[in-house]
Amino acid sequence: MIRGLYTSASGMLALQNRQETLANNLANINTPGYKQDVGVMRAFPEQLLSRIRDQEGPDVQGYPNLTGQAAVIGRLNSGVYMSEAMPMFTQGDIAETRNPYDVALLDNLQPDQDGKERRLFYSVARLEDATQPAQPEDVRYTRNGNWSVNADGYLVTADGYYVLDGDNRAILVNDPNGVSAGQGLKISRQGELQYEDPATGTLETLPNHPRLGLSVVTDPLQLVREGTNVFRLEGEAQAEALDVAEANDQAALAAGQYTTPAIAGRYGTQQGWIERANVDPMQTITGMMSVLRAYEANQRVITTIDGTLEKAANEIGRVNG
Amino acid sequence: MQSLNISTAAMRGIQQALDNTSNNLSNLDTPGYKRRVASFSELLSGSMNEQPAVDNQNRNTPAGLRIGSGARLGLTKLDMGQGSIKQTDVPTDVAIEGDGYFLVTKKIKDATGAVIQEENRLTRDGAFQIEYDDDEGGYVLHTPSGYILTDDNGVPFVLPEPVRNIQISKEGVLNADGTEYGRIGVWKVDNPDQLQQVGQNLFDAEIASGDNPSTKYTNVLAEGSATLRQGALETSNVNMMEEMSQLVNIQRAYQLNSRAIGISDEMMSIANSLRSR
Repeated sequence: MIRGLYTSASGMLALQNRQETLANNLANINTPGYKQDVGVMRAFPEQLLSRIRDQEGPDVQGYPNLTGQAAVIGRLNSGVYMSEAMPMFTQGDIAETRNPYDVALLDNLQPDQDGKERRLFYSVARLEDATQPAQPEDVRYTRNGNWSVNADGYLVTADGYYVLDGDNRAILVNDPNGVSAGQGLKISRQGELQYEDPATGTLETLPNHPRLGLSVVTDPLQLVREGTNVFRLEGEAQAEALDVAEANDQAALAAGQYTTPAIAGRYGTQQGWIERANVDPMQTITGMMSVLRAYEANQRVITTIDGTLEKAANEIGRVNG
Repeated sequence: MQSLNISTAAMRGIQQALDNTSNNLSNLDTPGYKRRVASFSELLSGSMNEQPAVDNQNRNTPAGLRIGSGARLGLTKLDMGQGSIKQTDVPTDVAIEGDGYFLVTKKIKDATGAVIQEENRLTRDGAFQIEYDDDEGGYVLHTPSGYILTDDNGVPFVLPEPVRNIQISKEGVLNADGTEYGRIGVWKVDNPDQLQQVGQNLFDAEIASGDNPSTKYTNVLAEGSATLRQGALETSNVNMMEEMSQLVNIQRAYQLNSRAIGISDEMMSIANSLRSR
């Protein structure tokens, strides 16, 4: 009876968390590269219920009286909570912006040998000194390819992270003492950084920065969402540079482990486009509606239990009712 | 109820994006105007760890429950796309074809009328007018907001009376009545996103008073990657259809978030009426 109160209250709390997750998905419906969260509900651990102090019960003729033995009645779940918010890494649709610093990432990587999902991410980092390479623990992963160039000429994200190249160094697009690619920066389908040499009109590789830092993350659910569009590796999660992953892929192909490449040709960067959020507004709004109704139902249960408790407290045993 | 704050934050950002779109639309006919594109960015997410110990098994994600806190307007980027060229046949209208900006200056005076400094501004707007200027002691070409066009050393053009037959070549050489008065400077900016927009279709050139602009920018007319066209204006690069579809998109996002606020509010009222029957 009293237990039911707490069970329903835990239900209301869990639904509030789910509503927060849904609201955050909806809030980021126009955020490039946003991956929606899915709230996962989990029941509290079960408990076993027993009848105890049996000797006080009626003594039935012909049946043994198991004095002092507890009789198991069954199981009881005592509530629910939201255990995790799982990011969904499905590809969002892409939209044209025609801006040279907008780069959409498209990937369709095959799962690895253990059947774990693999996804491609850009590497970004906050750096004290942009001339030094980023430490591995500072590297963050993002799908948001909506960048700009800061006052020092480095490629940065909207939240001030430096976009990294394959060697984990910040990418200098406009070098006051060297090459300034400016708006003429070209990014190939493989993520190679190029600019058009004004003198010859040919495409040249950006000095010191041959390629964007693309990483293959195996089992991306192990990434921790930090907000500001970035994810962090934690625990056993694995990320490897794209060229390393490609080399491994080629080796596995040569060894005959599988017949079609799992990585090569299954990804592309598209300059002048952005990947939009993969939030489905319909699904989110209907999710909110069902949250609302479940919340209401839990409230009714609490109110009902409260009503019966009130009867027990105020009406039972009243003299001269 | 964090969800109220989440949706409110998003709506604030959406409102700013709406402001940006309406500014683009209102400058549909401004010569040389470059549209801005608003984009959103996610806010921080918080992590909660109020979970029973048994929960650490059979999880898909690392321990803890992470819930974001909404979205904001991340940045507005200049779209440097070329606007179309509109023939006007006015001799003092000049359009730039290619990257680059005109440098225009204005003298700032104190109360006594002495010149304190020169303000340097960049613009793509080539709709100049000829007018007599007391400070320069001659006729100058100035923008609608009163800034004077300069040559390839950052010095204002001054033409004597009478001004007739202005000719501006593709390379920027300015002739009046057969006399050459110098070359117009068109300056290339590597990173236009970093320019400060100061209104009146101008950007702050960030050049100290009296400095030669070539210390900071390159003259693209001299190197030949841009050309001028006399008697024409560059229209704004705002595309009505694109802005309208953006408007619809933003409005829908606004409605969805306001719906979310409504639902969160209803949940609060349900929690409020726990004891009332």
